[in-house]
Amino acid sequence: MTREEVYERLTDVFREVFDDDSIELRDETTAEDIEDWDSFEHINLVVAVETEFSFKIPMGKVITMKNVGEMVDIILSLGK
Amino acid sequence: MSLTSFGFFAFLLVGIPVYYLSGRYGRYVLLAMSLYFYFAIAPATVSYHVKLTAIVLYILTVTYVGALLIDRAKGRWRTLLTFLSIAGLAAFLFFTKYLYQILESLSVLFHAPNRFSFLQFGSVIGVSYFILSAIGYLIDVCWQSYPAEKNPGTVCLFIFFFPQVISGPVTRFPEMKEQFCKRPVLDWGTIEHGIRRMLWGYFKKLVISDRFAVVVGTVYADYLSFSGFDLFVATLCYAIRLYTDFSGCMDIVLGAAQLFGITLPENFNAPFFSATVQEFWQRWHITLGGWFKDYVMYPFQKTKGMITLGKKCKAKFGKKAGKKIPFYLAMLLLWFLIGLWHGGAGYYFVASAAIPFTLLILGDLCSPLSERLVKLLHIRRESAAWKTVSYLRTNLLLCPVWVFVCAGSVERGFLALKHAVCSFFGETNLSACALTRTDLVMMALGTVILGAAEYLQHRGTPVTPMLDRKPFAVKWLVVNAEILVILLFGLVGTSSFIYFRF
Repeated sequence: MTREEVYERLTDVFREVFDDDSIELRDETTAEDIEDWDSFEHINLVVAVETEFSFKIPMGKVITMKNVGEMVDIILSLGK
Repeated sequence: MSLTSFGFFAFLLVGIPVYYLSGRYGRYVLLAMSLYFYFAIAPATVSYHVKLTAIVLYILTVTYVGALLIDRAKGRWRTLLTFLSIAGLAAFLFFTKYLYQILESLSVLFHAPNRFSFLQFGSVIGVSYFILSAIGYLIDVCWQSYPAEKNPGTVCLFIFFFPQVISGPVTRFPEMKEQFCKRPVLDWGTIEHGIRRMLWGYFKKLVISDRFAVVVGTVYADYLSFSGFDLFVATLCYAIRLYTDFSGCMDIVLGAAQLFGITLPENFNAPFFSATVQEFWQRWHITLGGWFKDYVMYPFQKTKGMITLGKKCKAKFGKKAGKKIPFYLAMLLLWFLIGLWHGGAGYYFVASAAIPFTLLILGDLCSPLSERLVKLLHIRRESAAWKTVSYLRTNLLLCPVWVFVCAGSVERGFLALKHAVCSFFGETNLSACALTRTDLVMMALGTVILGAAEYLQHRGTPVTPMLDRKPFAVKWLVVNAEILVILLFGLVGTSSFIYFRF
């Protein structure tokens, strides 16, 4: 899986979870940049990502990931 | 020794040079200082010190050995060992803080004689804070976020680090270990920031907080002889009193840590400038909320049962409404535990769990209606007027929280609320507070200075970097003026901090 492929699938997940087709993701994108990405939606997002990529993200990573770039790194490391 | 005593300054004056001269042994100097401080703030009796030694050894053994065993175990053993280690710490918290409280409450409820005084363990200062830090460390090791620490001294320092051990902030192991293990390097800028931060804390506590405490104490001691308006004023005074007390304590703690080049996490971010109740709790006691979110709410939301419930709710009630139900359940658990953390007494449950939870859920349910109203009335959310209205609304909505804390029991809390509404226009009796003109001037001036500093922080232009850019003479003047005001107008020698009791 390439970084570009992860971004493509991840963007679809974000758009579905936050009901917003205009979302464009970058490495630096954080919860500050997406209106509904709060502590409540964070877990919904993580669960949707896990369903999309068919693996579990460890809780330690769930609570420490700071931006989309880190999320993509985690997906790439777990998808190997 | 307390944070406002001469002994504390002497302790710092001796400790700082020793620490900076200790080279790679810096963390052991901090450890020795931390253990000395922890024993020095406790009641000075031999029996209590023996008890405290046993407590320190117990907490350290469970955390240090527990983490090492968790790190080596795999699969179910790992889960079991994590559970047992956490249970070992939680049981200690329950035994020292809640057991007697619960039995006493049950005795009152069933009108039975209280025969449980032998279970009164005596206060263990800071227990609720350092137990959370220790549990967080064990969970992180279980989650394989980092390996267990091999040096027991570092684990002991993490749990009992001297400025934070009394009332937080709740810290995370990796950030603290990194700072403890580095060689101490003397940086005058950091020392200056530490001194300024401590002075700001003393100003908040001794000049502002303790004066507002007089109003709160007088009115709530016999609130029926005051009007509802007086009660309202006293409640607002309590909000300022609590904030300046707790955040002042945090300023002293964070400033004292800075003197040793250690940066602790912030616990407050201008909470009174919050547009919503939700935002207020994100800015108030930040490290406690963050701990419960990361170690309780997220794992709970991610359990199989909650995910299945979420899917079922979405299928039944639609995407938007359906996903709210698991969230509300997670919030209920979070606020229940926060209420329990505050001591488990009924009125604390109402004040720090039931009311905040209800306000947050109502706020969430009403948000679509509020959005529609804002659009209908063409209100600009960015306008200063709307922001001011939002800040006032948030602080008014939080008043019942403070009423129950001040009232000291659930029954008295409800009576106080009823009295505040029914006798709002009664004859005012605030002169009974017997405040002098100096007190009134210092309260007004203190609130204005505090408000301005908080507003600047809220706007993203905090005072510290602003003052850093000023010439040395200006900084020198400000620091000396602050010392003078604290010495002349601070209620020195009479203080204790509210959050020490947790």
